[in-house]
Amino acid sequence: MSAVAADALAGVRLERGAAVRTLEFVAFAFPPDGALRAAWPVEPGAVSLGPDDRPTLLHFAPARWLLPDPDEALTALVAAAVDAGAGTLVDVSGKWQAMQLTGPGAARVLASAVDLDAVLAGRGCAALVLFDCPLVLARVTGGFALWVRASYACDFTAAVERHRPSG
Amino acid sequence: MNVPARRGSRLGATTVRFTFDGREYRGQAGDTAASALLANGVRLFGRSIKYRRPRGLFAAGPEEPCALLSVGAAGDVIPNVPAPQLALRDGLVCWSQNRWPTLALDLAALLQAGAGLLGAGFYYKTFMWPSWRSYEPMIRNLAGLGRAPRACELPPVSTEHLCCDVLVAGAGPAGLAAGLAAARAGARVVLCEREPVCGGELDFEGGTIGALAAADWVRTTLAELAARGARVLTDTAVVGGSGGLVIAHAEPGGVAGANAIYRIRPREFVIATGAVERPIAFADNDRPGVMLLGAAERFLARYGAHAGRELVLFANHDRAYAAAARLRAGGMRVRAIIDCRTEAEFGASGTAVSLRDQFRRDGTECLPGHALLAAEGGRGVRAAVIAPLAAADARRTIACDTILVSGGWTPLLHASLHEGGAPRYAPELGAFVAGAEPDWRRSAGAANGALELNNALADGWAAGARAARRAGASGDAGVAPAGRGDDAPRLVPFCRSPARRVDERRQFVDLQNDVTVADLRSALTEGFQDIEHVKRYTTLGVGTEQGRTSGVLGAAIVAELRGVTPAAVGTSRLRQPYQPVTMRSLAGDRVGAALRPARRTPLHDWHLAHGGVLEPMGLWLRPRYYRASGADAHAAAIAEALRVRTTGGILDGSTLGKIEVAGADAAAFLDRMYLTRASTIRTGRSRYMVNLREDGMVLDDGLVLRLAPERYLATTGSGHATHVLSHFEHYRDTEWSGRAITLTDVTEAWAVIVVAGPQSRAGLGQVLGAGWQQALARIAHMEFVAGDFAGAGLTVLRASFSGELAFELHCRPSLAVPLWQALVDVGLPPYGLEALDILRVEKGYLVGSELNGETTPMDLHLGLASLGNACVGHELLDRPAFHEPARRCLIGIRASDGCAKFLAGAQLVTADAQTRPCGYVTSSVYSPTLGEWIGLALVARRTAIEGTVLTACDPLRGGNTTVRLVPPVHVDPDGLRMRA
Repeated sequence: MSAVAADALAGVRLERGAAVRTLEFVAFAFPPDGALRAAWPVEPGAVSLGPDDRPTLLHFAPARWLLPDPDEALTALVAAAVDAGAGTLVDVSGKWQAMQLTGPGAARVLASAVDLDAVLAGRGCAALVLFDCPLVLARVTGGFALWVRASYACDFTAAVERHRPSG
Repeated sequence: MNVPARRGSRLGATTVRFTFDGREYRGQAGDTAASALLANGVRLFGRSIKYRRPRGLFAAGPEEPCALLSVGAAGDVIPNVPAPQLALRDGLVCWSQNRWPTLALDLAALLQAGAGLLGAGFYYKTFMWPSWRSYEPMIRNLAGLGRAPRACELPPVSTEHLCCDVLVAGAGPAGLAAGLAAARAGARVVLCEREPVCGGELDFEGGTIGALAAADWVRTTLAELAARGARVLTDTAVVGGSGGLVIAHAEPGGVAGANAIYRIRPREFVIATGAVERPIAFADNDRPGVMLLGAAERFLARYGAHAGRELVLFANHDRAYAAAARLRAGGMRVRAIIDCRTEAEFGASGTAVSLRDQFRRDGTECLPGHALLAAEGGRGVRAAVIAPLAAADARRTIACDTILVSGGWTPLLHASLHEGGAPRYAPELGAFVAGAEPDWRRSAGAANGALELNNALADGWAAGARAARRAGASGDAGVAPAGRGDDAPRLVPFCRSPARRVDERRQFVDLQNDVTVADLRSALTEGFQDIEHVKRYTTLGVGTEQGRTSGVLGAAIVAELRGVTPAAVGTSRLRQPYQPVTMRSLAGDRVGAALRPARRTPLHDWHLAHGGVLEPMGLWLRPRYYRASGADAHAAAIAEALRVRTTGGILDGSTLGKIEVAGADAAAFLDRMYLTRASTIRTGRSRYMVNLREDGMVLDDGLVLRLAPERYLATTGSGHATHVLSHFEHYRDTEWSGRAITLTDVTEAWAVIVVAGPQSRAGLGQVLGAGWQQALARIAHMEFVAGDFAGAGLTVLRASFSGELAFELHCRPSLAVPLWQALVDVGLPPYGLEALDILRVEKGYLVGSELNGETTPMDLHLGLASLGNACVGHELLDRPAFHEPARRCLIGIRASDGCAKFLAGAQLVTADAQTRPCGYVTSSVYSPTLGEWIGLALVARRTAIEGTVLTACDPLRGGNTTVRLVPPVHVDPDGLRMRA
């Protein structure tokens, strides 16, 4: 790897998140009805952030939202949407392995697999395949938050390691 | 050999040692293999591909057709590295190619004696009797460029995807101007330069740009580009692309080491790749010592390496005189300048006139209206044979050791043509330039025919500013700087010197492929008029050279021979990549373990820690067997299967695909997706279901669980979840659009542990505790109960794919390992896929190969088609072809003698050996329960009669076995064990 590339990859840190309750809300129709639209990040790729800047509600695919570790208020909001007949809620705990990729070289690592600028242009998150691993990707302060399909998590970690300078 | 230190713009002072053909040489840091060998007096670099003629350096870049080297230790080499591209490093080992036993003494050079018989097309005409195959090994051994490495482990290659407003290919004056204009306008710029240094030929042509010396302008421009956020990639060539995706390949040092592939998607693309010098054909123009004029200048200015001592120049333009002056200033003696233009064409004013006068005063012969007819010499040039064009018989020789030739410049259109561009002939250049191009792409500078410095700068600047504007940048690019460099070349197209027919066999057009003027004439005589046909017949412009030096020259000669203009001939298609790219670079990250992803279950680490032998099943890694069960896979599988039949065992079933289908219309939707109705499944129960493709073939099978009135869990085969989900989504989004149905893949959300065997209920009760025992006792076949275990949700489904009393535990992944370990601890050891296959075949269950996309539910005796559910694919089940006697259906199979072995894949034939196979074995296992080999097979209905004796033919693995057809269910046909 060239010196320039090595510098760009320096300081990349990949951390696995703890197993937490995770939900997916799927609307029956898209765009969703008016009541849902008011409280929801409806635009494709829109992300709602919690008070700690943590993504709490990610519109990662048409009519499909990811709720990692939802608090009571969000759970109640979604439950109300379900009760209103807007969609269904599925407990997908264990399906996604949460990860954080941070550091100055984080974008370069991901650019090995995808054109990040194009994928995240004008949006906060996207569902895509990186290093052959399906995942949801979101920009966060200092890097990226990822939810990798759990069965691919080891492979994804190995791919990131391969793209470090020492790899 | 000690050589004095040289001075060149790219040279450092450090001495570098390397070997060529086993002999050690010394060069300097910054050298290339070509420059260092040249400086060491080496003239012979290789042998030609066909006639094995001695060849030397011809060019100074990737266009080099002859001096291709193999790099590395013997047997582990990277072939076909152009010597001018190969950066010198200490310890470098390189070899010449296409010679045996040595470069100096190549026995195959005897072919030169028969060169007259080996013209274009001789392969096709000569080697016909008794067959091509008789000659092929010998010809293949002689032919080809270099040798493919036998075991060459190349370093990793990095890949990067880039997005930018303006991509500029080439960082010569036009490319730098384009990049600077675009960056000043506010565009995001990426600039790729194949050389390690930007600036193109400004480093030896000099000149001024704006108020600065050319070299200073290059430095300040690069600094400004960096300050404006532009990315400049040196050692990086744009090698190909299509559909707006541009592929650039970085290969610092010219050989695999720190390679990178850039996949660039620009909004706008400026092609400023420059032009490559074009040769002129004359007899024996391939001798070592014949070189392109610009190459000699590069070797001198950049590496202080002299192309020779006594030079004769042969050209058709003014710039030859400026070049000659620089070479003379560098210490070489210019004996003569042969200019094929007449005195009238030469003109009476300009820098060239004064330079010519100066040369004449200094004793250099300057001969307008002359041509260089031939080079004399063997492994090196000894003299040039010249004559006036008006009197070709008035020959004379001029002693020299080097002939430098320049027939003009060929704009490099590769990047444009790879994207589908159509070239246009420019008569003033004697070459082709890019024709009409799409709005997003434009050629500029020398690549666009602007050879003069000021024109190149203006053209590049305009292209960059336009590209930035089109990409949405609104800043002011300003105006292009004025440039002063070499005069316009004032070229008169000239492609070959006069020659007798017999000498045309020595007028080389394509030096890499030994294509001569005689070959081109032969192709035309044979009726191959189109340039593409000429290319294929003669091999003109194939190989790594890809027409860079030969393409336009060949087209011009074909035009001359046909009596038409080059515009009427056109150019042949230029193939990607622009320069050789190793397969390793193309593979990028996808080698070895990274070739494809491996999916792991939550129990993966446990399996590894406890002797599980894992193997890929689709993308999943699954335990095949456990080492503790037996000495090898066969013994372990038999032991594990027997254990399940006698006591019990557990299997990691987490790979099972799981799709949650929910909503008010979920039941009706699933009724259309499956052969049997989902709407009639009661909550808390499950059903074995089959879904079909539109053509009636079985797509997949699995259990469907009704979790709640409006919520189902559909299970699929391992690894089938994605395409079954895709099938569902297609119908949900098209036929069922707007209905209350949601589909969610929850495969990884639930780990699955299968507990099977007579003692499964007891063991499970022991682990789950008293709270679950009543439920376990009550739960009926195909029922499930959901509850809590260890504070987490757990679903227990009673279902069996082994024929034994069995349960599936669906739990969250975090609970999988403790639950699994607890089951092991109560005496339920794990079993792997080999044992599962045994259990399934014994029971007549589909193993996998029966669901091959060609079987219907009737073929598999699933007994569901008659239910009349109008699902997808049902309508076509009545096709007459599905009911013909020749249609194959599932049946059991055993060896007639009760002990012989047969394997899956064996073809089944009747005693009548004249007939085609009537079927084949889909699955076979050794049954420990029955003590013999058993299997499943797909056999023609008319033959699939129990008791029929067939022959299982497997000549490659085990010969023939006599088998008899039996019912598919080999063990417990009434299902008593399963329902116990």
